[in-house]
Amino acid sequence: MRQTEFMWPSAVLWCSVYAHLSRIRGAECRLLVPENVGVCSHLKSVGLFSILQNAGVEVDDRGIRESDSERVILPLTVFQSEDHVDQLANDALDVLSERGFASPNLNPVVAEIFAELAMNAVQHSESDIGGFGLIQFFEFEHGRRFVCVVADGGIGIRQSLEKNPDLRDRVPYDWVAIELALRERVSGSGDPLRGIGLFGVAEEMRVAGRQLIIHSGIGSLNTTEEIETESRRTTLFPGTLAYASIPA
Amino acid sequence: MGTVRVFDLLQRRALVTRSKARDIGDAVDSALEDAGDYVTVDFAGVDGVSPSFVDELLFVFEKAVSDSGMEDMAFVLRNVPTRLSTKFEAIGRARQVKIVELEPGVWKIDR
Repeated sequence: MRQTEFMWPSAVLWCSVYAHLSRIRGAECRLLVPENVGVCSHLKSVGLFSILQNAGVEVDDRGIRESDSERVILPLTVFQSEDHVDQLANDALDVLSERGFASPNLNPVVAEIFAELAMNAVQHSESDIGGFGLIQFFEFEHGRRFVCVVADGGIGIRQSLEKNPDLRDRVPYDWVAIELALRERVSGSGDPLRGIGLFGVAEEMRVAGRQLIIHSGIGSLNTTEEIETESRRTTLFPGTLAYASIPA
Repeated sequence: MGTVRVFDLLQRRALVTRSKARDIGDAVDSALEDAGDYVTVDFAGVDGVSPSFVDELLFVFEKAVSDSGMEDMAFVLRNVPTRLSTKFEAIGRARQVKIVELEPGVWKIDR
């Protein structure tokens, strides 16, 4: 990452998932940090360096201080259980309320989107490295927004849905599986009363200016109010990554 | 009239997991014993509820009514921190219950 000049939250999660998967498979892993001190400070502030170091990844961040972390709502965090997700969502809601970046009725929406995506990772991903979550606030010339990302290094949506015998023949490709997973009451569990979480997220994101991108295996799906949904083949992600962007 | 005060029981502003809905099961059972025409579930102090929480809450209601031996019971949710949107209507359909938003923040749930 020595040449890196900017890193979007989803890329932070890519970096984290790949490094954790490498470590769990016994490989030595080293992150070459950006030469740009500002970028380095930012990545330290969002928690990337510490989470990698805790996983045994070599990160030489000497002399790098954390930058102002006011806009980090939830630093990069590993979670393994529903209780942990519940705690993180409530912590995020407290931070959002304290900092007042948006109107109070938007804060629980951000916490809820994070929680549903994270809960999905806990319940369905079978990820040996757990799930990862990060929520940040950004202020650009063209607007202010929250970005919420969740990722895991698990089996992916297609393989999860294939566990349900009724769905096995309906998910030939990753991009088809992602489309199906966003529908009402579709779940790998086979329980007709489950499969409401991702459907709820997709519904919530069909509001002006919001965007949901889900990347699982070699499929990705982009949902916005303007383009409805667009799914396609893409570069492999070894698990599932969900990105939600919400105007503040 | 039986009332369940959710925030007092859970001390959570964001209710996002199924397990939190199950945690108020005993309180719902107790409220049913004191209920008249309906049980009130008060969300004052809660800022957000997720679809998963509401879905499980409907199961908690169904189980409580079934265990009590009653034929049916209505539940009135007060101070609900969200509108009754498509996703919550879908939950009601799957659980075969009728959810009506009587006014902002007040939902009535029955069969």
